[in-house]
Parts: sequence; C-alpha cells; structure tokens
Amino acid sequence: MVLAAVVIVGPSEWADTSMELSTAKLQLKYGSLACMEVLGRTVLGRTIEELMRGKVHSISVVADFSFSSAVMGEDNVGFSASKDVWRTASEKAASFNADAVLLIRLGAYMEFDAADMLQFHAVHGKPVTRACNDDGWLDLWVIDPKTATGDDDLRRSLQSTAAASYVVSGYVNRLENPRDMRRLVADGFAARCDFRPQASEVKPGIWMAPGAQVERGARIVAPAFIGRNSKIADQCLITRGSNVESNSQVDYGTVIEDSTVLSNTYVGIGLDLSHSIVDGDNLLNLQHGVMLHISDPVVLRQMRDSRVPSGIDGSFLANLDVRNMAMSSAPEKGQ
Amino acid sequence: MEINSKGVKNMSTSGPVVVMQVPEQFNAGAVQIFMEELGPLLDSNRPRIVLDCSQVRSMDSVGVEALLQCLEEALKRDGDLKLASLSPEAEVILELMRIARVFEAFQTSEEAVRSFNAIPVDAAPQDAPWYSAVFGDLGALKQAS
Repeated sequence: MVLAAVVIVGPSEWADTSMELSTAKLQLKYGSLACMEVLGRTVLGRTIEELMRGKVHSISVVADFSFSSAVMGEDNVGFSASKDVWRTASEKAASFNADAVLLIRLGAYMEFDAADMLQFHAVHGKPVTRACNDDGWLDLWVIDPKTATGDDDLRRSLQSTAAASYVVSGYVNRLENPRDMRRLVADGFAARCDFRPQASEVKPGIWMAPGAQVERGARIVAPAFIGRNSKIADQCLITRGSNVESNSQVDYGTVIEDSTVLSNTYVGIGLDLSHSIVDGDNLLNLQHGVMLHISDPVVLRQMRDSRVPSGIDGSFLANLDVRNMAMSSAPEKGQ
Repeated sequence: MEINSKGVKNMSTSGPVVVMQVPEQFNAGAVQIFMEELGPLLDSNRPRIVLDCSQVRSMDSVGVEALLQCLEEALKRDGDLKLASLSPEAEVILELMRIARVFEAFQTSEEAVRSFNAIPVDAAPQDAPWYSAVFGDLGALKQAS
C-alpha cells in the first residue's frame, strides 16, 4: 500500500469560524512553535523523520510562510509556501498517486503509529479517519486521495462527523502556547516521550551538541541542553531543565534557570533568567505571564549566524525567517 | 496629585515621603526628564522616596542604572528609596537584571509610605553614627581598653 503525507504548518481549518479570539490570537502568535528548534530539532523535522521511518513514500510540507532558504536534501520531501495552506494541501493530496494520504497540521507534537492508523482506516472503510486522544480531536487525518478533489471538499470532509475516529495512545503535546513548549522540553529531558535531545549526553542529564562551548568556570546542572555552536561563558549557571538552542550565547555570570533560550540569541552579562523563553530580543516570562521586547542589545539580542547548517538531519528550519512570528508584538501581556 | 512646573502629573507627597510615578517607557529618553524631577528631592536631607512602578511597561539598562543611582543618592543622605506597585513587566526586568532584591518593594504606594512612617525619623541623633545606639561611643570603648 502506497502512503503519502501532507504536513501543514499554518492555521487550523476552522480558525476563522469557531475558534475563540484569544485562542486564535495565541495560534497566530505561536503558530510557528513547531518550526522552532527545541532540544536540537524542530517538531516539523522530527515529524518528517518519523513519517519517513514509518514508510511514508512521499511527503509534502505546506506552510503559510516563505521558505527563505530552501532546504532540504530529501528527494521525497517537497516544500511549498502558500497563503492558503488548505487549498494547496488539497492539491498536493490529490496529486499523490497513493492509496491513502496522511494529513497532519502542526501544531501539536504527536507520537503515533502511521501504519497502525492506516490499517485502522482501511478496516473502517470511511473516506476520512481522524485521530483523537483523551483531550479531544487532533489535527491528524488519513484521507482517500479522491476526497481531496477540491479545497472546499477537503475542509468539509475533515470536519465531517462521519469520520472514523482513531485514538492516539502515544504522547501528545498540543503546543498551543509557550508553556506547552517548556513542558515538551521537560518531558523530553525526563524521557516521557521520544522528543529526546539531539546531542551527546556528556554527563547524566547533560546534553551537548557538536560545536557547543562551555567555559571551564561555567556550571551546567542536569537536566540541561546546550545546542550546536552555542557558547556558555565563564561563571554562568545553566540549571533546572534549561535548554540553550543552537548558535546562542550566554555571557559571563548569567544564570539560566527553568528557561529556554531559542536559536541565535545573545543573553547578556550578569543576568538572572528564570521561567522564561527568550527569542532574540523578546522575552516571555511564564511565571508572570508577561512578554517583553528588550531594546537594549547588551541585555538580549538576535544573533545572525550563517554557520547554521541546513539539512533534514539538523534543525532544518533554523535558517527560515519564521521564528520572530511567534513573539513580535511586544510589549504585551500574555495569557 | 500635583502638577509641577513642567506639567508632569507624577508626583505626590505624604508628609515627608515623596511618591513619584515611574514612566511607562523608562528608557534613556525618559530617564533624563525623570532625573530632572527627582534630582532636587535627592539633594535634600534624608530623602524618603517611593517610586510607583505600576505604569512601567519597559525599562532598559539606563533606566535600571537610574534607579540604582537614585537609591545610592538617597542612602548617601541617610534616606531611602522604595518601590511600590511593581507591574509584572517591571518585576521581570528587575529580576532579570538581578536588582529586585536591592530594593524594598511594596504592593501599594500607601504601604511603602507607611513603612517609612513606621520608623521614627528622629529616633537617633542625626549626627551620631548608626552603631552608637547599640554599642555606645567607640571613644569610650577605646578608653576602657
């Protein structure tokens, strides 16, 4: 049986109708969480890798932003940017010469058995099978390619109550807000899911990716992750489940506690960063529910580094200029 | 609330304690105006100042430095500077810069003012060192030894 997949990175198919404003706003702000490198690889990258491992023959990624530096080194993975991701997804799904098409919207990080879901779909004989878990529906479907003959048909079919429901028993993190991202990091560290750090475990609970530099006087307390080409300066402390993603720099004497420093971020000297997510010059404090734009480059700033390698083996979206989409309208109170 | 000569509606007094509002964007531009307002108060004897931070939405390192400078000036003149009604943004910035614990902070300006009044200003002679109330005169101690 030939299986293909369309991975959508964009708004959900009912975003403009039934979604509450606050949720929609969050989706708009944080919709690209799946494209941010976390523990060394994006959710999108991990999902594609998992699909390839699950013998999905062709994969198409459709996103609502431009791929500024087209990746990607895999012949059977196609990438396209479109303002109307659902229309494009429909066209892609229809174009596959496959027996069934997996349709995934990221979104959520989901661990599921593609072969098992496909078998379930075949047994039930419905045109659409939709996945769910204890918390409700998931944006994961198996469809017959003929269902995707047009954009409207596809949307109608996906929302159809006649769809067979497949229960995902594996780990699911809906990544609906940045708190979920921190939870995913914690779950990855604790091996509660397959979202494991993409690096060498140099000491129990401490992962360091290639090119990471930690000064002799810095202290890393497990669990912690230091990404590719990141630098941790002297007298720093990285602790309580913190992750410093690729090409970032934490300067002298700064403490990072229970926080995520996203890729290409500079964190200045002598700071105390806790319960936060930092992306360039944007800081989201989860404890106070506050998002700040720090205009002072000696405190926080975006770093540009062309050394980030592209490729499906790494954070293959690291070069894409999408990360700021998540935290651009500061200052603003969150949650 | 008073409107001063520059039209800034950000200062009020409660007895000898001055309550002043910190501007919403406490950055290099705003700091200069703020310091012009606060400077004369800091020059007085035993300045007792409460900075209301409820409006603060952003603060850069110049703003943080100004706060520290004000505190230092106030302490130099046997006074004190306390913070009140910290907005979440101000709290995050002060924690980030590691100076949250340097300041005494209160939920409201009224509490901060009361905290000043709880300590009588004239409890100790102004020209005597702080330890004289506890240890007496060091000269006497030296003579005894």
